[in-house]
Amino acid sequence: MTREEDKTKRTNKNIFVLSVKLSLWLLLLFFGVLVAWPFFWTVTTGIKLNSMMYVYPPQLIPYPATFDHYLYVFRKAPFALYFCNTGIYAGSRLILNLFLCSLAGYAFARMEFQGKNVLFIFAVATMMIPYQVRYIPLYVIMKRWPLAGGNDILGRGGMGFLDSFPGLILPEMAAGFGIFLMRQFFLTLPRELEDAARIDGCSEFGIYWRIALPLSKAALAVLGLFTFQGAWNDFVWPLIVTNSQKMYILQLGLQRFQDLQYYEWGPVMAATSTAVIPLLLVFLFGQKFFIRGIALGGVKG
Amino acid sequence: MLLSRKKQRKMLPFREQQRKIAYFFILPALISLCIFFYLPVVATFYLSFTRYNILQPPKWIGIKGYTRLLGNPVFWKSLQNTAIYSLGYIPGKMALALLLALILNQKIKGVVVFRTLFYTPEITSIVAASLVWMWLYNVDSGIINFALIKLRLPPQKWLYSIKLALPSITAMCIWKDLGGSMIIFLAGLQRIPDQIYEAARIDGANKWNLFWGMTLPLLKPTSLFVLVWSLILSSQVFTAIYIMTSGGPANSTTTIVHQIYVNAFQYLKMGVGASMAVILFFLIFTLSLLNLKFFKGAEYY
Repeated sequence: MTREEDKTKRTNKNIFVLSVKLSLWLLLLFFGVLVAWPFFWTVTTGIKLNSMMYVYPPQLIPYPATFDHYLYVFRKAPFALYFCNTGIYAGSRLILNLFLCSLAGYAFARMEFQGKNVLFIFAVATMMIPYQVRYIPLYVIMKRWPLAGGNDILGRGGMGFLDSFPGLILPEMAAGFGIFLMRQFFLTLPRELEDAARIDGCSEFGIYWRIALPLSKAALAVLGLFTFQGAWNDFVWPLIVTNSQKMYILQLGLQRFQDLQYYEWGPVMAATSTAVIPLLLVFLFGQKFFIRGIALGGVKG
Repeated sequence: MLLSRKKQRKMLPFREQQRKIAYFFILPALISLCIFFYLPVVATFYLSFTRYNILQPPKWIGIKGYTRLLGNPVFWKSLQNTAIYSLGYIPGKMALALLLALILNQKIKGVVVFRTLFYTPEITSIVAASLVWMWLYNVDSGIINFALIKLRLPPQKWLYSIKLALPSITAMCIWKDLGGSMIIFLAGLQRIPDQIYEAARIDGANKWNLFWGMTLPLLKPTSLFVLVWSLILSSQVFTAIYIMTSGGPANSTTTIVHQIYVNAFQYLKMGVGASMAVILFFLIFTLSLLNLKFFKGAEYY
């Protein structure tokens, strides 16, 4: 082939590659718009005037915008309280999980004791237990918790831990997933570190607390993000174990709000926006941990 | 000093101490898992053979605990609905997730932005997603019906239509969950070493061959994992239904978990709920074991 033909062949190939890349990009854009649309519509509905809410053709960009719906939301329902409750619930669950699972994970990774492998499988097998097969008796267990909420020593008479923070938090204070994750991480720590510490006279707990734990910040971040996300978005267990409005967490309060304010889509979308934004922010800043965590260990619901 | 070497080694003080301390390390997590995971599972199995409304002690009815389900048409409908939902959800989600992962695996500008975008629905709560899509599906003023009108197509009743309610919920769940599967597919794609492609290209394979003959087969373990994982998720669908349709219209959207909830916590027929939960448990436990096998396979490259 002549050099001229060569050149045309190469340019044709380049054009082909470029047009493929462009069409792929357009395809991505198409799906991107589809996926992003509900978010866009939620936020705009939340600030759209009621008079423009139901008109056809629909107003895509709300102008003038109004924050009345947000004011309405916080007036009609104690969303600030819901936020606090969710913060307490998610925060407690987060701290308990990080502590209990890292303790256990460290022991399973770095300590020798009888039945270590069996107990590890015992702990991690809980990951395969779906929540539906726990919740019915858990409700009874919370209700009959001895010496709680008006119960006597045998757990009769009162409401136990129902409708309370312990009732919300206790069943989820440790998870097989956390133990698995932390053990996997601690296995990668070099033994020389703990040997050196032991020679220096450090106690076992000291090694865990002062050496292993500070090194495990990345693993703790992954576990923390997943636990926090799970707790923040939790709906079913709070639905079951709480019933008074003062104990509602955010998701439950949101759903109840929609139930009552059925036709007020402006306020409902405003409330939804506030419920979603904190986690969105956490996600955007902690992104790489999320993605790494999923690719690592499969997804935990 | 007169001790044999063996005995000396056995009596190394720090090993003894470590063993005892190890048990303390794992105790809090393990006790929590026993009380809040294993105990409830056993209790659910027990309750499945009883009639129980929490106000009175459980009444043992043996195998009738399960045979009564056989004669319950709503139970069978819920199983059917769960199956129909799964048949729509799983292929839809996997196809989209794989497509997006394949595109994102190419070197195109803005991959990170799109990856984040497609994953964002995953981190919103199912409550928020359900409310948003209820507004999108709104019959009189929802944006979807508005779009249909614009396209001269008949607007639909969506969540109020016996035929369309379940597909509507399925679409929402696909939107919400495709990000997670996409990430897993991406991880699987990126695990395929470039050398394999190079070798095939040297042997004269073109792009089409590369895809069908190499990429897809190499993705098999990952795909199987995503498949089983999606099946585990789809058999547990509940919150979307509770919020969007409450199982209606005419039981066209009630699923097995929805029936568990309704029977146990609305009708206070905890025995019935427990029997259904046990059946679901066996299904999910088996699937989880299967997935363990596939997860190990997916690590091969």
